[in-house]
Amino acid sequence: MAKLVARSISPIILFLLPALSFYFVFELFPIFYSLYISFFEWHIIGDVRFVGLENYFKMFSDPVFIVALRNTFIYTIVTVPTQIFFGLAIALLLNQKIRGKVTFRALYYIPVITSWTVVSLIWKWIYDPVYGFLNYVLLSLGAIREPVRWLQDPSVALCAVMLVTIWKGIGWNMVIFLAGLQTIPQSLYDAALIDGANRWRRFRYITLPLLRPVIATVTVLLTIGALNAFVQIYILTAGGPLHSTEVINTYLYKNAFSYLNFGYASSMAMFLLALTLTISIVQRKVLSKKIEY
Amino acid sequence: MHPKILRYLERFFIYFILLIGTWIMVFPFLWMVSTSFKSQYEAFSFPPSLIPQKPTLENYIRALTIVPFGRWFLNSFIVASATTLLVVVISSLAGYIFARKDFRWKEPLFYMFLITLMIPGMVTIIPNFILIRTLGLMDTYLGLIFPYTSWNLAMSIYILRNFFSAIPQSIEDSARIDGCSELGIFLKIMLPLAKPGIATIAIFSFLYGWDEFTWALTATSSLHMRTLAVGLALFHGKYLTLWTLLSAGMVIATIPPVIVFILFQKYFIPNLMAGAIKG
Repeated sequence: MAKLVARSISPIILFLLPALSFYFVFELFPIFYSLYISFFEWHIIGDVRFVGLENYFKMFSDPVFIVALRNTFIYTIVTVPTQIFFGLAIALLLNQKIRGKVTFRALYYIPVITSWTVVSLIWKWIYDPVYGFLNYVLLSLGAIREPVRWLQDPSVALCAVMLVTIWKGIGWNMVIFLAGLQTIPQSLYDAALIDGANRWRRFRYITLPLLRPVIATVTVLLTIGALNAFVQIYILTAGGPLHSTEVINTYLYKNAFSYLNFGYASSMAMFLLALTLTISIVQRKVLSKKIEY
Repeated sequence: MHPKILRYLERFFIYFILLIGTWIMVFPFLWMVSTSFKSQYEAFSFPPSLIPQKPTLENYIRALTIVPFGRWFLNSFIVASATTLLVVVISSLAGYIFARKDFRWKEPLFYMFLITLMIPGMVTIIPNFILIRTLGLMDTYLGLIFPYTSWNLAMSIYILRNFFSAIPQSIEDSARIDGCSELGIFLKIMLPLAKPGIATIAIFSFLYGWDEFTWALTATSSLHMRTLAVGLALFHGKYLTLWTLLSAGMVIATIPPVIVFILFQKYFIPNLMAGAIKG
C-alpha cells in the first residue's frame, strides 16, 4: 500500500501540482462557475433566484447590448487589419539597408511596452477639446474649422478610441513581421530578380505567401486582443458618449460592478467566451491552409 | 531619370516615411514628459509649446509627497515582483515536465492550459471576484498576486516547454549516468540551460503585474491598496484637469518598464517572436 502511494506521488505529479492548483482555482473553476451564475438572477446582496435562460433572452432584446456587439465587431474589423498593414509596411521599410535600424525599431516599440493606463491617459490629454495638442495642430493647419470634441462627440469617439489602439499596436506587429521577413531566404529574391520580377511581383509572389503563417498567427492574436479590449475604452470614454464606444467588455463590467447584476453580466461573459472561441477556431482553419510550392 | 538619382530619391522617401512614423510614435511621450515639467498655468497657456518655458520639478515633488503615488508605486512593485517569482517557480516545474517526461493525459493537459490563452479575462472576472471575496483576500496583495500568477501560467509554461525541449537528451543522460538525482538534474542541469527562457517569462510577468488594470480596479478598494495603474486612472477621474501632476505620475509609472526593456532587450524581442511565430 505504502509503495503504491509512493509511486503515485511521482515527481511528475509533484512538479505539476502547483501549476494545476492555480489553474483549477482561478481559471477552470471560474469558467464553469460563471456559466452557473448566468442562469440566476444574482445580485451582490439579496436573494439569488434561478431564472433559466432568461438572462440570455434579455441580452438579445437589450438595445445597448446590441450596440455593444456592433461596436465590438467594428472595433475588431477596423483595428486588426490596420495594425497588420502599418506593422508590415514599417517592417518592409526597415528590412532594407537602413541606417539606425535598431534605433527606429526601439522607438516604434515604446508604445508597446508602455501600459494601457498611461497610453490612454496621454491620449486623453492630447484629445482634450480645448487644450489638447491634436486640435491645436489641426486648427493651425486649417484642417478643421472648430475644435473637434474627440471623446465627447458620439460620431467620432469610436474612431478616436480605435486610433489609440492602432497606434499602440503597430510596434508589436512590426517586430513580429521583421522576424518573419528575416526567415525568407535571400536566394528566392535573387532568383526572382534574374527572372526580371519587379518589386511588386517579388512582394506579391514571394514575401506575402511566405509570410502567410505569420500573418495568420498575428491575425488570431490581434483578434483575441481586440475582443479583450477594455482598459483603453474604460479610461478614454467609459463606453460613452451615448454608448457610442460601448463594447461587450465595458457593458459587461458596468452590469457586474456598477449595476451589481452578476447573473446578467455572466450571461454576457458566456457569450463572449463562445464568440472568442468560435472566431479563433474558424480563423485558424481558414488562415492555416497550407500553400505548396 | 538617371537610375542613381532615382535610388537617392527612394532612399530619401524611405527615411522620410520612417521619420514621420517615429515622430507619431514618440511625440505623445515627449508631450507627457513636457507637461510633467510645466506649471499648471503654463500647461493651459496658448499656444502650447513642447519645451517648457519655465521648467519646474514641482509636479514630481508633489507626486511623491502629497499624492499617494509613492505608495501606489510600492504596491505595484510588490505585486509585480511577487507575481514574477511565483510564475517563474511554478512554470519552470510544469514546463520541465511537459517538455521532458511522458505520462498519460500529457497532451490534453497541456492543451487545457493553452486554450486559456484564447479566453478573454473578462469571462472569469465575476467568479474570481466572488472567490477572492470569499477567501477574504479583497483589498490585499495576495488578492492580486494569486490571480495574476495563474493568468500568466499558460504563456510561461508554453515558452519554457520550448526551451526545455531544446536541451539535448545526451546532457540529461550523462548526468543520470553520473548518478545525478531527478531533482538534481532539474536544478543543476535544466534550469541553468533554460536561463534565457526564464528571463523572458520573468520580464513578461513583471510587466503584466506592473500594467494590469482591470483586476486591480476590481479587487482593491482603499486608496492605499491601489496599484499605480489604477491609482493614476482614478486620480484623473477625480481631478480632471490636473494634467501636470498626473503627467509626472505617468512618467514615474513608465520608468520601470522602460528600464526593463533597455536592460533585457535581447531577451524579449527575439523570444516574443519565437513564441508567436511557432504558435
